[in-house]
Amino acid sequence: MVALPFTNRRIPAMAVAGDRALRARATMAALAVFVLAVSVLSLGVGAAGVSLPDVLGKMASGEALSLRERVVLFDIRLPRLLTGLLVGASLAVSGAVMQGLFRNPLADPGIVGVGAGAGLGAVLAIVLGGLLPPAALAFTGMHLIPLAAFFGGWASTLILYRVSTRRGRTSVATMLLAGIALGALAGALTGILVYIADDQQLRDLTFWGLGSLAGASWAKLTAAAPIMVLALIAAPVLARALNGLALGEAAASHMGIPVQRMKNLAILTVAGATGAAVAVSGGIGFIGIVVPHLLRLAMGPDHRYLLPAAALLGAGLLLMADMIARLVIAPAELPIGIVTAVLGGPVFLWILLRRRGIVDM
Amino acid sequence: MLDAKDIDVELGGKAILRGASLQAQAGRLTVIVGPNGSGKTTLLRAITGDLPHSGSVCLNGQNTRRIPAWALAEYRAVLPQASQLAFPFTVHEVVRLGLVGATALRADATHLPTRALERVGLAGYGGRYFQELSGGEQARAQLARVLLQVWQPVVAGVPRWLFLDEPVAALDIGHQLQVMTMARDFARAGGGVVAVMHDLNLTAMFADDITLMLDGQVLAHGGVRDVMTDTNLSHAYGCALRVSSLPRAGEAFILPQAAEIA
Repeated sequence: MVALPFTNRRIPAMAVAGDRALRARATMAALAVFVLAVSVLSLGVGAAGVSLPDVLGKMASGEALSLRERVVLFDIRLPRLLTGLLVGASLAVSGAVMQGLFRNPLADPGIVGVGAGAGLGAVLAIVLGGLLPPAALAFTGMHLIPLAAFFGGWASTLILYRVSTRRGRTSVATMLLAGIALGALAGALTGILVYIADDQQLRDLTFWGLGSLAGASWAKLTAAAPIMVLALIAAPVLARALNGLALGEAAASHMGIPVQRMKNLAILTVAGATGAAVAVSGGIGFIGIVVPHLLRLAMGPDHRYLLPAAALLGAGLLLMADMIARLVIAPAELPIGIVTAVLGGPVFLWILLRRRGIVDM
Repeated sequence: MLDAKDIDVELGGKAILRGASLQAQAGRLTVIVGPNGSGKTTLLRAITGDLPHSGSVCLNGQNTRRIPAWALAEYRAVLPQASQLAFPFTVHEVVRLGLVGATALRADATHLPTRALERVGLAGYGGRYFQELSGGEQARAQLARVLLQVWQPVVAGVPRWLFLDEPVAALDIGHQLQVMTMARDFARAGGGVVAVMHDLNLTAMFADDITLMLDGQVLAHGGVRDVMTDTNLSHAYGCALRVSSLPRAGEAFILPQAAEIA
């Protein structure tokens, strides 16, 4: 067999043992196809009985769409699809970033109270937002609730990191316990706010607290999307730093990583992604812990690949969960948080069973 | 060269280092020795910026405090005493983390982790999970990562530096010799090496310069025969030690005089 000169050069580079970059790239390509497929499927599924092939057929033949078809497709399903993609990606990426920052696969914004902190921020904005000076209200506009959720998430991440990290090492036990305390505190404050809320606010709160994409609209999406997009853009910047941090803060700094700045950016990213996601869709659990864990099993923990892959898998899985939520008891629908909990809870337990050692660290 | 002047370190209100100074030349292997608690590791960690300290540290003529982390990483790599790793990285992936700055841009960059592993005697270990290695193997894998970071000992006439905190502590005698030889080769090629060591005989065999520490201060600094004297060592370690010479090579070796301890 004739050896081609270019294959001679390329094959050794692919055969380096322990280098999982190729596998990671293949996984990402497969995930991209998966997200695309689920997106198309999601546009075609719903209680209204508008089917995508019909609509596409009409569009191809130049026939006008009915008002009903246009509303269902462009004002209900499309914003819901985009919200689902962004929320899923944000939850999974903030989980992966937080786990990298805390150097622990159990750190998840939902589990350690960051989601609760973000929720408290959102509830504060809904109930007490009216007390803000008009100028501040006009300035923040529709972004008020996502911004408040972001600050709530930021404050709780910061407190959590301060409490559980000493000399660059994070204690898992302290982190989980501090997360319980933070979550309880945020829950109690949220409860007090619910008491003083008026009827309209109570309705907003209930609807929001269900943890659902059902309320997705262009207005909500445009309010929260900028923060999520910013966080998703910041995430890849963190990849090299999170890889270095796996070796500890001192080692990371000797590798040339500006550790303090990167830690601050990571905390802002987690708060932004979690806060904005919570603001649009309420509490959706387990995406942030299950997605990065499955990906580490499949392609390794290198954050340069893990973060984009988590965005893709998170987006795809959340869309799938949303479709299940819409279909199982159609025409009514389940809150998506129930679906992710039913699917994610057992996976989380399985992770704990497989690696009981990580809790003792 | 490395010029650390008047380093004071206080931990919890207690003075650990008092006015310690250390000079090390590129092209030479400088070893810091001393009994437990004498401040060897503290001095190294102060020099590498891991501990708050007073005094000044200049590397290649620049104050290290004024150099951003990324620029410093280009010509200085540090091996810490204890290593930790979160997440299941392979050995290859851990070593590749040492590819930073200009080295990462080299045409042969993809092959360098493998070559670094060969240099520390871990050829063929790239595909294993780091956490599954033994303690000594993990230590050598970390060494490969650190070595990769300063792969060429001299770049554009500027020496690069290796700071090693007890690089052979967890190793068997064969790998001790291999690692010390690697460190010496790095120095022979023009780079600077500063290592904290416990083993006096290995130190005598490989060091060009020795700094002997006691109670947070430098007791003696200089060539092997200047520092390794019966008086210096017996005083520092609080036991009777005699410096002899190897029959053939004439290198110094140190023998504890058990009878004289009491």
